[in-house]
Amino acid sequence: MFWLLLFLPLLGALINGLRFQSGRSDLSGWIGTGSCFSSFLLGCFYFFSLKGSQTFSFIPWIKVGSLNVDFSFNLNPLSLLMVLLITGVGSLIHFYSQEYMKGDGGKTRYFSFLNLFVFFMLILVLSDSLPLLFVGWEGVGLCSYLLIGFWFKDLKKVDAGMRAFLVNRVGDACFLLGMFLLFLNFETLEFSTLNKLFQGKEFGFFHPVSLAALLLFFGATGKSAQIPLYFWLPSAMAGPTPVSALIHAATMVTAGVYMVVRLFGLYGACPELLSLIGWVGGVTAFFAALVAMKQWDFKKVLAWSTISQLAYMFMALGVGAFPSGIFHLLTHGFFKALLFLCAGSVIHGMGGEQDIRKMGGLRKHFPKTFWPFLIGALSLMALPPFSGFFSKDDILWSLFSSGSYGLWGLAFLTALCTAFYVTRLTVFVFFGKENFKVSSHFPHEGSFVLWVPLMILAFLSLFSGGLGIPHLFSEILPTHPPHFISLWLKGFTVKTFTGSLLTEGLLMGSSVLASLIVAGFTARYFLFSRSAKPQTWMKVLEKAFYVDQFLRDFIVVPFKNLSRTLYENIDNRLIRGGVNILVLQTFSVRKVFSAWQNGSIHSYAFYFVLGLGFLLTLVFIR
Amino acid sequence: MLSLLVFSPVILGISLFFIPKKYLKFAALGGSFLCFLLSLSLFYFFEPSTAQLQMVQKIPLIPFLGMNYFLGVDGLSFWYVLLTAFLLPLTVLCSWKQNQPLYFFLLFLLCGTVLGTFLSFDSLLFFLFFDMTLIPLFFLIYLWGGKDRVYAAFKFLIYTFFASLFLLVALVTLMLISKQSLGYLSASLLDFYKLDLVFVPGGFLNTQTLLFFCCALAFAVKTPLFPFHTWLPLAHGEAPTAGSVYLAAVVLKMGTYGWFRLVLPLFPEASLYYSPVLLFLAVLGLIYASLMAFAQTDLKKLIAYSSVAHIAFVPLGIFAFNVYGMYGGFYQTLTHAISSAGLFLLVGLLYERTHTREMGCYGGLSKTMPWCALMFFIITLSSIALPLTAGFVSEFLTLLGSYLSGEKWVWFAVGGVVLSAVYMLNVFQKVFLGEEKQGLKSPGDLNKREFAILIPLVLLVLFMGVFPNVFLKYSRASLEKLSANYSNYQLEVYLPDGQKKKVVESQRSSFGKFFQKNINKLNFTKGDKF
Repeated sequence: MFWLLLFLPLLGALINGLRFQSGRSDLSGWIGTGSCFSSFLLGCFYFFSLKGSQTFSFIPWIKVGSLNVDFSFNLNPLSLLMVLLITGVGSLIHFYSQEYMKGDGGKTRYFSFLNLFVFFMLILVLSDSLPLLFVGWEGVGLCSYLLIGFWFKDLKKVDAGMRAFLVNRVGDACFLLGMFLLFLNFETLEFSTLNKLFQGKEFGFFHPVSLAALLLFFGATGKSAQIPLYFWLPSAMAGPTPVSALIHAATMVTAGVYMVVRLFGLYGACPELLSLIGWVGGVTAFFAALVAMKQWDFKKVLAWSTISQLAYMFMALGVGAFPSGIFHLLTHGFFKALLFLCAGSVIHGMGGEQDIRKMGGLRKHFPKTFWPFLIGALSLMALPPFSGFFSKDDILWSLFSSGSYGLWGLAFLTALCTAFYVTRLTVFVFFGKENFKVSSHFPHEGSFVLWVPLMILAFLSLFSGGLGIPHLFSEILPTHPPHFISLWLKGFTVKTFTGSLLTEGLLMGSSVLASLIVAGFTARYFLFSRSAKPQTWMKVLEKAFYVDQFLRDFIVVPFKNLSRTLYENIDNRLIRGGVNILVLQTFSVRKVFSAWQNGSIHSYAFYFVLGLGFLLTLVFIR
Repeated sequence: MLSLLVFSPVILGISLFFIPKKYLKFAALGGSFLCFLLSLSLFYFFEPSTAQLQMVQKIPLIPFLGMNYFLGVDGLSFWYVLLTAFLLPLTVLCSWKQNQPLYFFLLFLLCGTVLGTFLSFDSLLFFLFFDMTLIPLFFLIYLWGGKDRVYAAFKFLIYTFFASLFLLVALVTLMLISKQSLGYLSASLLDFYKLDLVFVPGGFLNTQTLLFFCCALAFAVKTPLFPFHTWLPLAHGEAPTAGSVYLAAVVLKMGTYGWFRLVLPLFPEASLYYSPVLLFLAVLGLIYASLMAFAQTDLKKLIAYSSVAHIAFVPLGIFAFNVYGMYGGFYQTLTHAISSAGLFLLVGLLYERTHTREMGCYGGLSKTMPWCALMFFIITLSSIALPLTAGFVSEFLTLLGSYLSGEKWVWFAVGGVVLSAVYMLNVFQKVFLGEEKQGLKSPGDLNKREFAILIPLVLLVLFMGVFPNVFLKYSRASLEKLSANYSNYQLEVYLPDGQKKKVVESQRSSFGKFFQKNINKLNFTKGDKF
């Protein structure tokens, strides 16, 4: 049964992959959705029957020396949550895609890639050892590459895919090095053994263990789009919108967070590294939220917001609040997927328009998209009673109570920026005057295939907060509901956070109030006076601090030039030329050729004698 | 058995001259399949649990030189033999437009000589086969190559022949040393392994160091290792597809085989002492060749440079001097063979359709050739070492091994993994993605013959990535032995229970006796001068 859970998506991918030429067939969508949904059902089964953790071994994979990697999978509370998120949101998005990709010639190919992605993602979260995790890790990167560049006629999209793949490759290379370093020191790469090894120990920043963890984390910054390897995610929005929802918001980009939590023993033993992770998260969160404030592309706003929200998770990990990080991962998975799908619905209904300046007043045209979007937006803003509030509050609380006031301040500022850009986005898209030409076909609301997933996700965004009721509320409420996530992930906890109820209440109130105030002012500003003059500092934000230009001018172009110059000067002139001078010049090429071909017995005999003489000299000389 | 394996391609190749032109291709295909089936019989005869030399056949050939006709197979050569025979039908299939018996004869001859190299355990015989491979390849390039074929062919011949002269010097010296220390003149590799060569660390003028450098030079050119690689892109650029495939997949492997078979066990101290030099060259070559590949606009040259980059993993693994590197380097030779063969085949069939190899002339081919794009992509994945494809297992092990070697700058080898993705995805994008190029004749997708060529390779790429143990099983004992005691490496002849001792003697065929008798008629007597 476990194998079905894992391999059904692969099977779906293979079936669709082999009949990719069937183009627009509806069957492909059902194969894709069906296989993913069956996996989800099986996951549900395990959710209710799992006790502790369970290991499933398939066959040995690499077996050399003391390196012993099996295809062996581990189902534990953490990975099960991830499985449910991946297959659950995955099925919804598969379902949604059937309408979104309708009429596209590559529909079958699309579903094949999407299923393959789910398969690799399952490998990633279920793996029992680092090399196997790496299989999923690179596999999802591959699928991301394929899906970003799905419309391969447009080279810009292909370039975006390539960029994502290469940036991730850099991270992956470091991931490999981290793995090697661990293996060098401990001769094992299995999670369970590694986690046990480090229990109750502490390593300084420059200790090899910490270094290995740092290298692995560097891989995570690639996958989860954190500074310094964040810049691929905004351009990854070139892919179809459901793909952005599934891969670049809900699942793949959370792999880095998952990896750190999965190695809780290792990271828990490196407190200095953890605080570095927290600060990377803090800076990334604030930076990405700043940039998101000035973006004009619907999906890019969401992409920068994703970077920022992922950074929240890393902040949580930074103070050791692993369950809080996973909690935010879940709720973010729901509401960000929802927002992206809403964006997809709007973009689909507007005939591919993504610029929010060319939208406006859409709530009348897209009623069934508007309300889910609003739920998602409020959740992202972390207002009660939406799920984002619970998870983000959890993080803020752990930041504050662990004494990282600096991080808490950054997180608070980020929350304000978030309130600003979310309100701005909502106002630009759904309120105000209509900045587009109404035609017979556009705008239009999609069919039920598009909005049913929205409803389900909206429901989840609304109520999934109940998985982690804050301490304060559970004290007040008569039933004393438990903090479900913390209980469920008990095995992955390295630290607990305590503090007075009063502080908790004050923090909660202040962040909600501040967000509300910012949101209110923003809404007022954009609704009634939209005519701000563009200023230089805004331009800087719009261009995301010119990092892309910098990369192009200082990395990509020099690299191309370098390889070209090296080829022309070193390879062609120095080495090849050198060899030619050494060998051929002495004989003069043409003379050798003609001498060899003159057909004269004498010369052949001469060569023969020469060779023989050489041999004999060698033999006799000793 | 092994003799049959070596000489059947040659005999079949000769017999192709007597077959009417109409049936030539089919005869060649049939013959090549026969060779492949013959090689498959190794699975039956070969005993994977031992590192000893098996299926030995030893006939005195030139007694006064101590030269024997000495064939055998062990875990190191097992897969090379199968690989060589496996590629023969594919190369025949990919040259379906040829109708000259000479062409097919050369292919068969190439196969036979390469097999001979991998199977011979007599140093002179080894050298004979090693250099004989140059002849068919030279003529393949010279007669059926591109427009610069004459230059490329001669460069190839002179360059590699010049290098292998050093090998000959080393082998002859070893023979003489064997006479000194063992008391009899022997050319057998098994006897060479028994020798204890003088080594002075840091000194240059001692036996082992000198011989090490002679052999290293020969194999570095053949492998090829930076900076001895320039003949390869040229030869690849001009060779016909089948020639390129054989060159990349098998002929280069004679170089890497040489590291395993000769350099490491014969000169263990020197190898260990100079391993940083070789590691350095490997890492440098890896990065450098990747950069070169990125600079290319000619598809075939690009693949050739990528081949140079990937083959650098082999010395990287070997000279890490640990079991991971050894396995990785060995497995890399196999995976490199499959993926570079696949890439050359694909470039060849693209060229057949469009008659250009300029990357700029291509674009958007996945619209008209989706299957071709799929195959190309899967093989590309192996080339960039994506997990679950063949390339990953070997490069992972190699990198792990080199990492454990303790040299810090070996870390840079990981950069090769990134760079390979850069240039290979760049190729894929330029050729298969984007808008279709104007003026490109709309080429049809793969036909059945091309499917027959590519599907085995693609399946193998995936299979080798998921089940590496199936492949490593046959070489495990030998690799384990080589990595565990390379400093005191000995190879014995394996004798199954019940047929001890006399097996070797009884394997003298009548041919051998006849040959020996005639040799004896010449007035050489055994210890005359030697």
